[in-house]
Amino acid sequence: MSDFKISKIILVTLCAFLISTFLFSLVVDSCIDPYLKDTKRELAVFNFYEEQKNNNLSKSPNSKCIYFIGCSQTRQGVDAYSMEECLKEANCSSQVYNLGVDADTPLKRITEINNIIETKPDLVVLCLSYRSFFAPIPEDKLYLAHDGTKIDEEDCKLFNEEQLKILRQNEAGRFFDKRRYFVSSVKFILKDDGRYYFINNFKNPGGLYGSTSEEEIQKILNNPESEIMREFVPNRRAPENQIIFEQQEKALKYTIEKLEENGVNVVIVNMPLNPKLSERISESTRKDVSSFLSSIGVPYYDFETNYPQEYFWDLNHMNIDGRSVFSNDAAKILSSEIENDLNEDREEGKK
Amino acid sequence: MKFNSVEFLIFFIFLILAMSALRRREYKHSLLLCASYYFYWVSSSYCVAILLFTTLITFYCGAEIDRNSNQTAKKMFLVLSLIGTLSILGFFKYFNFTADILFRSADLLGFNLKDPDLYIILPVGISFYTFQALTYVIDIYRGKLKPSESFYEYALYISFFPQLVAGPIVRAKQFLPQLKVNPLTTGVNLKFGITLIIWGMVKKVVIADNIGPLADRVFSSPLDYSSPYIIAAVLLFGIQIYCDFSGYCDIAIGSAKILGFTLPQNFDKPYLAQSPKDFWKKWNITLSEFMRDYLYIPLGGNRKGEFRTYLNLMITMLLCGLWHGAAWNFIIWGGYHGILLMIQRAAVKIWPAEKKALSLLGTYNEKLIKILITQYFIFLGWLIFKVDNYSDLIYCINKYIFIDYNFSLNQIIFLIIAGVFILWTNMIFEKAAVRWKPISKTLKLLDKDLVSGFSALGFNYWFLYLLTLMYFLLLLSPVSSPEFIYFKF
Repeated sequence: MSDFKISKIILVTLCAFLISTFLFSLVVDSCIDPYLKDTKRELAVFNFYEEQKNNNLSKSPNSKCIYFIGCSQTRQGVDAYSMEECLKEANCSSQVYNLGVDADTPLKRITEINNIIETKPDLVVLCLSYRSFFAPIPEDKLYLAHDGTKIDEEDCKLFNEEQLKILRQNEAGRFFDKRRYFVSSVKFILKDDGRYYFINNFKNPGGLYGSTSEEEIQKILNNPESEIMREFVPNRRAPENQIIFEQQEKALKYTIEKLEENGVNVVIVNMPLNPKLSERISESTRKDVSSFLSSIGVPYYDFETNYPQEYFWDLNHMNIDGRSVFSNDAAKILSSEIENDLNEDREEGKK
Repeated sequence: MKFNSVEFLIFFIFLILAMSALRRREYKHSLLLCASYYFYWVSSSYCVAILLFTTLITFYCGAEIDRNSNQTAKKMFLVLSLIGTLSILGFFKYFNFTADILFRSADLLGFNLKDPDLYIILPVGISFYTFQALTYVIDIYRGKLKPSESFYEYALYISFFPQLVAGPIVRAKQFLPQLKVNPLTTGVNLKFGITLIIWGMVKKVVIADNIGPLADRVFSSPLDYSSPYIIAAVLLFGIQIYCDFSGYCDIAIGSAKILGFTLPQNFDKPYLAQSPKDFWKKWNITLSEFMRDYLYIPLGGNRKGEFRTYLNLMITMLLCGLWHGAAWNFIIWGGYHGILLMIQRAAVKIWPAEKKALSLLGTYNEKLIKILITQYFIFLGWLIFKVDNYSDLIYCINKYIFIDYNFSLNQIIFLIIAGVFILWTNMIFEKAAVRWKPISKTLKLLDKDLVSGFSALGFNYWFLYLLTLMYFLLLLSPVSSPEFIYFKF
């Protein structure tokens, strides 16, 4: 065979690769990117920060800006409108925002920390639970954070090599990695059942409040390998769980220090849990998390066992009634925190 | 270095360019040898010393076997090479397993022995290149092969990177003569190689890697699943392991072809096998041929009476299972296939009328029924291969054999009618195939090697083939691709 034939083979192969890449980019533009925009709250949150930063000039000086940050427990458990009403009645006019994102953890929020600081909130309420300390970050979350994040070198020290590789991935790699969403994007196009209506809602996003039967709850509780049990009742002797715990602890401390250094007050809330799950939390886990949160140097409010089973639709998410009750109770805490804050300002003013 | 990685692509392109730039055969071989050792170093680090040791000892023993005319001396060097290579393989592969058995046995007997807690890492590809080295020495001993005059050529044969880590197991007499010719990247080789590599990548990355997690989900907690899920999971696993292993082999054979070398085929539509014996002629062909020629036949094969034949079959298959891994489920899997082969052998003698009975249904139906029965047992074997927990395995086998789905009367009637319809359609189709040329041509085409067919296409159609498969690769390959399954062996 002549060299001409070899070059033709190489040319045909390259053309096939280039055209298939072009066709792939069409799929990305028409299916995957719209899917991400319409369904990924992780991206919407970054857009929120940008809008807040741009809107800061028009912010009323007498109105406090409060962020609730946490996972799906926060997203479904906090009604910012109801809180604003309560705070208004208590003469603490505030803008409250629910920035709960599913599967959130302190380490994942490091990717947003500089974005938060730029928007200059007055108070950040970190809504935590036991899973905040034992759930690993899904690779997907870091991938989504890549474009919006403004992490610096100090922030990067909290992540391991594999996590940094995703956060620092080059554009070509990111482009081809969008294929991970292809199947989901096709399913979304074929059947958009409206379940993602809350993506850009930062007041009372809610989402789907389902119901879980007693039988299903018992099945989950009796299966130590289920996701809930692994995250809330982890095997503390497993080395990987200890590594995750330490990583999340460090991330949380770092978050609080950095926010406070930049003039943002922080409050920690231990989110409510269904009593059936709460009674399964081991004493050692409860003691470790509790003592850590109490010693961290910021106000800490423990709501874990405050509510009966009727206020939950599964083991760790509040239903609409639960959201209403919790939001009212949380508003009372906020009003006292705002009051304390105002008093400190007056004291400093006097000085 | 994974075959489905950007690093391998860059490495391979540079190698082809460098090979094209060189003129002399010896320089090309030296380059390939260096590239192969570099490839192994990246994959397995210091274990490259074991590869070198295996190469040295078998080369030396091969030369001595040929040099000596004394039969005792020949045998001595053969035994030396066998001990030298198999002891290394045995140590790395079976140390942990053997130690575990010893400590458990000691515990049962009441001895409290201290576990040294020494975990030996298996060097990549050791099972494959050890067997390759053994074919060299044994064939020299049998007088079927002359030893290689050049150590570098022999080292290249052992370390040739496309087939180094997971086969196919290439005999010395298949590969060494190819080293006497200047390897060229011709247009035909390049086109065939690219066709096969892309096909292999699709099998591994698009099919195997996507369905693997589905099967794993069931097998990670099989007790939570009923018969339909267990059966679906084992079917998926069977497809996964075939696509994974044959995909790797396709990439290996395609890469070698581009470099100017021909490696033997390792799979030939194994899920269309019509008997257990037929299956082993189509699955991991080079391994089963190795077992046949270097274990089964030397043990006596079928030449020493019925009882010895069955015994030889069982020993061969048990060792085949053991080769796959140091775990009881692999040994049981090997033994299970040994039983299948024994049953097949016995059935042919006891029931020759079966052939006549099935042929009444027509050739296609006969083939279909034989395939379905054979694959039922083959996939049962995959359950044993995959599930290493004893109680989970018993559960899965129970669910596979005794289906716990409550079929309604309507469903049973439907299945019977569907089965009869399929048999009747096959008989009509068979008659039509004889009369209608388009059907018989299509069937002949399906029987052929499809990849060769694709690579022989004109450039327009070949472009469409590449475009389609590359597009599937870009769109459907998972972001993180797990290791090839047979790398573990």
